[in-house]
Amino acid sequence: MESQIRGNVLSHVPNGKQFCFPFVSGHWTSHSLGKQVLVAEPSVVPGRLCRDRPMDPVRVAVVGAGVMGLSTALCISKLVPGCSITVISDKFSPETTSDVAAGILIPHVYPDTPTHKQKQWFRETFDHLRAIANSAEAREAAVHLVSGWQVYRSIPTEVPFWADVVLGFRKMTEAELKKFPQHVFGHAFTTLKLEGSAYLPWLEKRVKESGTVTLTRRIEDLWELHPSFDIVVNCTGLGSRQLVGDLEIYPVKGQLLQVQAPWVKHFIRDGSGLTYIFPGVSNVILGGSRQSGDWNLTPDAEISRDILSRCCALEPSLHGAWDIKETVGLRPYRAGVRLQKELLARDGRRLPVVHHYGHGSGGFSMHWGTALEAARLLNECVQALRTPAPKPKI
Amino acid sequence: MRVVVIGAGVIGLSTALCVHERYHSVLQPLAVEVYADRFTPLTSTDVAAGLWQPYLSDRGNRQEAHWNRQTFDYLLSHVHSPSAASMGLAPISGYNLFHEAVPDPSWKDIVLGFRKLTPRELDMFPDYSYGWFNTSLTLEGRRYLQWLTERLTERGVRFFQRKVESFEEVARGGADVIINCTGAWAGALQPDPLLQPGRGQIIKVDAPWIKHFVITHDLDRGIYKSPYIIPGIQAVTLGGIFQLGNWSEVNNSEDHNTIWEGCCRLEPTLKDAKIVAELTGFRPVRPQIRLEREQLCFGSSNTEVIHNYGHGGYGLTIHWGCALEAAKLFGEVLEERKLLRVPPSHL
Repeated sequence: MESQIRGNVLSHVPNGKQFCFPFVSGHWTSHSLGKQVLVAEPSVVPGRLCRDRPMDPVRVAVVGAGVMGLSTALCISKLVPGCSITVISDKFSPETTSDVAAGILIPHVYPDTPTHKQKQWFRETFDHLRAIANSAEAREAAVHLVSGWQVYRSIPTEVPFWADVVLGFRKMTEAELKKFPQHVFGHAFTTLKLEGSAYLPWLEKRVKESGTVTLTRRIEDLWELHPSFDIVVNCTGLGSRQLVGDLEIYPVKGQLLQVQAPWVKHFIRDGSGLTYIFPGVSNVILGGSRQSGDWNLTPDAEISRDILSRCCALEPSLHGAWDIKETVGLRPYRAGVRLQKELLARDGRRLPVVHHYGHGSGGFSMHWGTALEAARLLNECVQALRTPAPKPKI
Repeated sequence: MRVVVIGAGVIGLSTALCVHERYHSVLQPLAVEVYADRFTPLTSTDVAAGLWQPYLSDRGNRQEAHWNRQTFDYLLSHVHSPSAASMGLAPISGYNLFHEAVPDPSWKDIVLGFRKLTPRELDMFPDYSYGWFNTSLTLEGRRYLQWLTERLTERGVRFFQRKVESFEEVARGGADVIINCTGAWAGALQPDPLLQPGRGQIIKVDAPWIKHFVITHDLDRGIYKSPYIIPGIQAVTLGGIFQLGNWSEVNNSEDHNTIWEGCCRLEPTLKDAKIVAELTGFRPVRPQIRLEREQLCFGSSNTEVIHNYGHGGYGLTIHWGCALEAAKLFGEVLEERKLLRVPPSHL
């Protein structure tokens, strides 16, 4: 069984299980033992064979091509010199979780992550996207400002930590609250929204411009990447449950409706986070649902009816919405985002891994900040690799 | 009782609706007809961007300030109805930008959530140093006229496409009351040196990522002479042209460049937006709106004329308050002629 690679990757050395690496083009094929190996094409690009010399690019594999994988690849390409990066994933846009996500910048609160960290990541993401929204890239990346209201049925006790990151945050006036007869309190502000299905292809383009290659492949075990790669960045979201055995991550299924209602220019979000209306570039997103532990990706018609009904209660003009599409995604829920280095060891081999996953419902809100941090962690791994030290015999 | 409304823009159609709503049950028979040489999509209303926003200063005109408020409250009360979208009505928020600090506008308590811009918001507009943010309403001219036409048709109001040359011809045709909503062309029916065309040109683009209006002000140059970006339901209107006395109905390429360069500078994301239309229209500019009765004598009978024109660039903003006032004047006519079966309690 063969699968094509989307770009130059690496080659196969005839004497067994190990990989070596001048950069050549090749294709995956089945080894006689059933393992997938890479076979080199005849055209060999002259390259260095010895990876111990400091000038060699450090070969980084980013596993996962959702917003985390692509952003991390981009951050690494910009911030960590001397890396050659490959993004490997079984799914690319439009088949990732990020493609379904609503894409509004309103943070989710992680109980296990310090608030100052969350605020820093949100601020970094907000400022980064704001610059894109104001530039000629805005249309292609589908990033734009949107104003609106977060309304509550009972008065909240705290001001959200992100209040001074978004723009113009303030309490709603009495006159504004009249629009929401079932709510007694609200915040008005301006934030950003993006559309995953446009933002991801845009990211992929930026990532490729910087020399990163992409590869469609399902990784069952991180050790498959050794020794072709020096460091692995794990951005597999829910996939980490199986891939690295992290039982702290679990799906919280969300169902959304994408509708046409171009007169809706404001977001409206119920403070509970369960009901929301987010106008985007090509549609308005209505949500939502939270079903913990549900891995099923089939939309539920009853839930769709309920979402539509709750959203029409918040915004009656939605009765006139048309072209209603259902989508389902699995939020990669974790009490805290896992941003951590790990050194895998097996049979005398070592594989540094940077974990970058577990963003739950707050992926887009934090993605640039956590990607920057992942790039910093990767840089630490790169420094460690480049430090002259006796290497274990392979 | 035959009422003829001349003009089928927002003023004509809303006045016709308001009069019919208030009097058809107390005055029978009541025949309301609309005469116009232009109907949607060819009226001035169709060219308007459709944002509720009066001029920065109400020029001391309390009556007009009151009509503006009445219109906003009326529209706001409809914003939750399922027919809001088919009316072309929706809330919209956005920015007013200035080169220097200015006093708050008289309408700051009419719109929702009015506040000054924060420094971080002003960072997005490097050419401007001061501004406001508020939530207002969009009322798209074309959709609203279509909606008004449907409501009027349901009520049996009839429409006639004809160019009226004089009040006399309409009076001799049997009209008891004429409501003159002829906008920029009112001078053709009766000379009015106070009325002038304020020519505007706009470019409509496809830019669905733009969710806010952005209106810039150059206080030296005057209203509407500075770039503005106003999203409608489907398209975004770009403008910034105001030429008093210019009757040219042709799109002008220099004006096109002025609008395009000004708006792209304000909002760089527009660079790649696709242009879907370009239109020219005439704001009926007058120092104040002419909303008053006049009795004209043709032959042996008196014809009541109610003038309702001269709404400048704020016709959509003020239309319902004026329609209510015109209906009130109509009621006075009926009372004087002792035509009311029962005095309407809502007068």
